[in-house]
Amino acid sequence: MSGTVGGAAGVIILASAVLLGVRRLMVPRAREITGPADYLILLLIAAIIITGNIMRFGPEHFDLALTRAYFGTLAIFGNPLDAPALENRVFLVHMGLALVLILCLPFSKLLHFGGILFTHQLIRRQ
Amino acid sequence: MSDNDVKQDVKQTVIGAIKAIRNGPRAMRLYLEICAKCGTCATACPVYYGRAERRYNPAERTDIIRRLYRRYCTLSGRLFGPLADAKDLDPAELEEWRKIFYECTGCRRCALFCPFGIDHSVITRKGRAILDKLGLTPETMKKVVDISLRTGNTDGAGEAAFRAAIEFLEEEMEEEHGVPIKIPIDRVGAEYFYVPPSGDMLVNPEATMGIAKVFHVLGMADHWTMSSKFFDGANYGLFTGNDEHMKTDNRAYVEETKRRKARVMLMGECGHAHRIMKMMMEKSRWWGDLPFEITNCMQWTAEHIQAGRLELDKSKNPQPVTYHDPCNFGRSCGITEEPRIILQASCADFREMYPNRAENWCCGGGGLSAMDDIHQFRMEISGRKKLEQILATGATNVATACSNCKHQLTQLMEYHQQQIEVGGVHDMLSRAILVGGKAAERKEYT
Repeated sequence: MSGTVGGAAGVIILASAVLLGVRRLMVPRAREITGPADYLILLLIAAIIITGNIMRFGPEHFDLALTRAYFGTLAIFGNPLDAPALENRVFLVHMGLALVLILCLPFSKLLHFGGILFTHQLIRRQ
Repeated sequence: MSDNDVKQDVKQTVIGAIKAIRNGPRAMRLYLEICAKCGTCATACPVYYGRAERRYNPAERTDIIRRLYRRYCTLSGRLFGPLADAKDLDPAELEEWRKIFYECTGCRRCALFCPFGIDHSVITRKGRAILDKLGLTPETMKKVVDISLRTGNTDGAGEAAFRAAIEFLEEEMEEEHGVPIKIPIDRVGAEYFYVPPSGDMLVNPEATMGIAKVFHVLGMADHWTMSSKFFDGANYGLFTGNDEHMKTDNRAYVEETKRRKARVMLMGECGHAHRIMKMMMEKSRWWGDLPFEITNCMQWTAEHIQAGRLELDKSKNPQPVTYHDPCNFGRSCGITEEPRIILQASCADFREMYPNRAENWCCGGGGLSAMDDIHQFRMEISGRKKLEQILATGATNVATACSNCKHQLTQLMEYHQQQIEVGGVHDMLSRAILVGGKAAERKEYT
């Protein structure tokens, strides 16, 4: 079950990222105000999605249970270096990029997704 | 000082103003922090509709300030520079600023449609404020501000001209109705102090006649007054971004209302004047507690129409009439129904244009209406959508409640050779109202 849903989500989110990129490139009013930061953040997200999908659909199937074991070790402050998950290169790239994404969050426009819910109110109160 | 020193000096002034934003209003900081670059504002902008060029994109205009703000006020901007869309200022760009920040009408339509509610007009005004600090405000605007601060009105009219205009209006009204209808001047202790835009005294005076007639019919001719020195609510400090000018101009009117011992400051058909009084001065308590309240003449008249105290003969205005919501009334002050009540009572064929009310498109003039140096821009680019909107209604008369809109729309009709008359809301009322059971007898309106 989780495999099917996760797989479908992986495809849908990749399509969404591609569409966002296409819109940014094709719609002049969006393209002309786009800066490097806007493209880079899209590329980062796309790279995370693609590496994720490679692990799921690629020829060398990656067992999700391995990540569970790896994060379990981290949670109890064990030594994660021997975890078998780390032997998979795609996983390393995928997780590395995800960490970069988390690092970027407070400094990039990704944080705005929360703002959309309350900025109108915040501005009106002034 | 050498050329280089001057450049450094200019740069320091700009950077200082950008850094000061950090201690400014929270809304402005939010506008500079957030923007997903989705391009929605461009679909809402009358200027961008007129010509889809990068320089007219509201987000791009705001980004001029935003890039500097990122460079000097954010960590990511300082660390990553262009990668984080941050850029330092080249003083040579300021010449371009002078054009670009006066290519926004400040209509705030973008703010209505932006998912985050970013009000680009606030940033436009910031850009203009910085230019003003450097003495780089366009000459046409500088001139209006100077005249306004020197004479108390944007037309530079003296007391004699004002009294002559009043006399003329009183004669006109007597001719129309056969009874004397007074416009009281400089009365102390009158209940209502009427503050029109000076355009409604000198250029399109029918609106002021309409107000006088309403007072007359209500038997309140002794309860209002105008001032022979302060008869122009227009305040160009709002447009040039100079807060000090705006407040100086504003204070004179507040003091005059106190001197007149008026209970109500009755604002005329002038959108930005009403907005400054009601939404800025009163709300932010610039001058503390006020011994009077602030109402707009359209709210006041509409109330009397709804209470059935005024009689109007619609057949006097048989032509199709549409209403253009001035941005400052419709979007910024929420006065949308009152003008419609007046027009529907005064006109036989009232038509809406679409979209309307808060979503109405800007006339394309706004605070730029006085700028003859960008006449072509206003006619061909910023006013394009408005022209299409008006033509779609099939109306031959556009009523609006703002001197800037009237000026812009009149020019727009001339430029595009349309036989469409532009006037005020109370103009239509003035032609239809019954005084002593009789409407105005008049063949021609010019």
